[in-house]
Amino acid sequence: MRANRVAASGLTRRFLLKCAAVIPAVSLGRRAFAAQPSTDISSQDFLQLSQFLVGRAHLDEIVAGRALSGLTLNDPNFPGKASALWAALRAENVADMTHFDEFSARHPEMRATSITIISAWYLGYCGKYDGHAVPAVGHPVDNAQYVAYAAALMYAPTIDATVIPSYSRGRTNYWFYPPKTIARD
Amino acid sequence: MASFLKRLAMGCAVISACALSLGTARAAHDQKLIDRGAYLARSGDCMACHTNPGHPSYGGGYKITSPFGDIIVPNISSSKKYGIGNWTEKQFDRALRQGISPRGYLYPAMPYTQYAHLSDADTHALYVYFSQAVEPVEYPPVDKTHLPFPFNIRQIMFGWNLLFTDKTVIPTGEDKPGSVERGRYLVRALAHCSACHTPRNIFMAEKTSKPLAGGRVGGWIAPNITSDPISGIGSWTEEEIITYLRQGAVEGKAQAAGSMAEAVQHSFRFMQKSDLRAIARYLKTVPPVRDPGQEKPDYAFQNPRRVDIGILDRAENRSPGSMENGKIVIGERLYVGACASCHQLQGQGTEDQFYPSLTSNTATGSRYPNNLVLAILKGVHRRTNTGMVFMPAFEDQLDDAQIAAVADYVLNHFGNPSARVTPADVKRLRHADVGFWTVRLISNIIFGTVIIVGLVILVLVISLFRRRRRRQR
Repeated sequence: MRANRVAASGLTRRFLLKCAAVIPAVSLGRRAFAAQPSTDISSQDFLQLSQFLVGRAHLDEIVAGRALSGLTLNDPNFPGKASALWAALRAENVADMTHFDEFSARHPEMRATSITIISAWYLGYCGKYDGHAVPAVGHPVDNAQYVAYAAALMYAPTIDATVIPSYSRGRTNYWFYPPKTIARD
Repeated sequence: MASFLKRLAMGCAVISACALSLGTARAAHDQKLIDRGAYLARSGDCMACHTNPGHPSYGGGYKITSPFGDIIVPNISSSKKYGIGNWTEKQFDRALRQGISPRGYLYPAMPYTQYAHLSDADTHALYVYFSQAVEPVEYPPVDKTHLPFPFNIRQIMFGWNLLFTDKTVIPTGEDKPGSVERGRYLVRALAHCSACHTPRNIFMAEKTSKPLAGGRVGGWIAPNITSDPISGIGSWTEEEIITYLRQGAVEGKAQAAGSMAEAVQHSFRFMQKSDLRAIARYLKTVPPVRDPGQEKPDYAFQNPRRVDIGILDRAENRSPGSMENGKIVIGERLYVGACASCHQLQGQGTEDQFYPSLTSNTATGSRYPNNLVLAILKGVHRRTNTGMVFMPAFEDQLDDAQIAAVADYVLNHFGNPSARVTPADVKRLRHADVGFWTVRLISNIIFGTVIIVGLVILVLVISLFRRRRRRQR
């Protein structure tokens, strides 16, 4: 399936790559680039964009694929927005996320796109979610798309002390005792 | 007169005081003997077989799966009617060390072949403990042992005993706590390790040429515990052996399940550290036996095959249709659903290794995946001094094909990838059907038994003939 998607997007990616190479060289600036928005983003570019946004060198490709298709399903214009975001970040040589505030001040419309991507990776779902574990049948706002469970990034910062629900991290009844590291935490 | 009475009273007081102190001295002596008997009974693990889980101690009724059929263990409480309350010390001794109870010959499922090496003092202490301190259980085991012909004729054990019982008394090493000598006594006599850990010949007697080289118990594999660094436990440290016996687990090596978990639960965790050290020291001296073809220890499969988190971490189809379908046989998905919540997605176990890693683990690294399959089927239950160890049994949740699939996944990713499990293997182990012996060898055994009995009769006839000749002279 992934192979098909890559094949279908081949032309655009090539075009995009050409743009990325040519545009800075002729100093057309971001306005000119924005005038020719791409309407798609390759899975590889989405993975790199995600890695940039969440500040990680490695992210899982399969999870990335689920995030991209989930976000696209909820917003058909998402690939174009993501593509523009990635191009702008590269065009402006934004080194890392410490400079994101300055960047998003220049591009308020791109801030929202960035947040939806980050939120899909951290929360493990995208779209609107009514709070139920299982999407309610026929619920008007529940269009949540599954992205990841154990791989959701929100668990990572506290994984030494907290538990991914249903994944044990200690002995039986471990929740009864506070973690040993609590004094240091 | 008054002074006489006074003297008399004083005399009486002195005499009764003496009698009383004598009595308490005797009581203290008895108590010491009983305590000693209780420790020996613990170390001999009498509880594991003579107590049916959920029933009073030593009431019997526990089922031992043997290749010939189930053997139901008798009541050995102090009940006069159903237990051993009426037995004399001589009868107790004969049952314990020779396998002949007042009710008839015992089967060698009772480790009398090892207990034959017990010292007289220890046998006495055990008798005092069982006859005086064990609470009577006033009912017999519900089931009865029914073995197929000819094994239901207990007298055949006469010939077997003649051939396979070694009555050498092993020095107890009691004066040398923690010594190899003490360990030898514990391993070979009291703790009867060889009952499970020594391979057996076709007559179900221990192969004396390969002591402790590994055996089979109701489908489980009791591993090689000789000093061989690859097939045995030669590469384990003394401390690791002690920890294993106490906790039933050593990080990065092995966990006890099945009968060994029972031995830890009922016996080893109560033993003195010096005795555990003695066992560890002795095991280090047992001549190594290498399993031909084995190149590295079972626990040495250390590198898991990584799987993309995205593959493991997938959305479950929660439609009612898919929920009804519990028949998937994809090992990976079964692993994620049934195993990963404790052993973690990449098989690394929990950080404290309470739920052990599936790599560096004898259960998954063995060339014989019996113990892995049986752990999945029957679960693990082990009480230790620091709490309960528990793995659920999946025999009612997963079918044979599913257990084979998940076991294969585990072997492939975390253990020895050359080991394979088929649904037929699972079926055999599920029903504790160790009958491959029976089917293949029953004729040999009957044949062998006939020969043994014949030989015994021949020996008897010859000796009778000789005696008569001597008399005639």
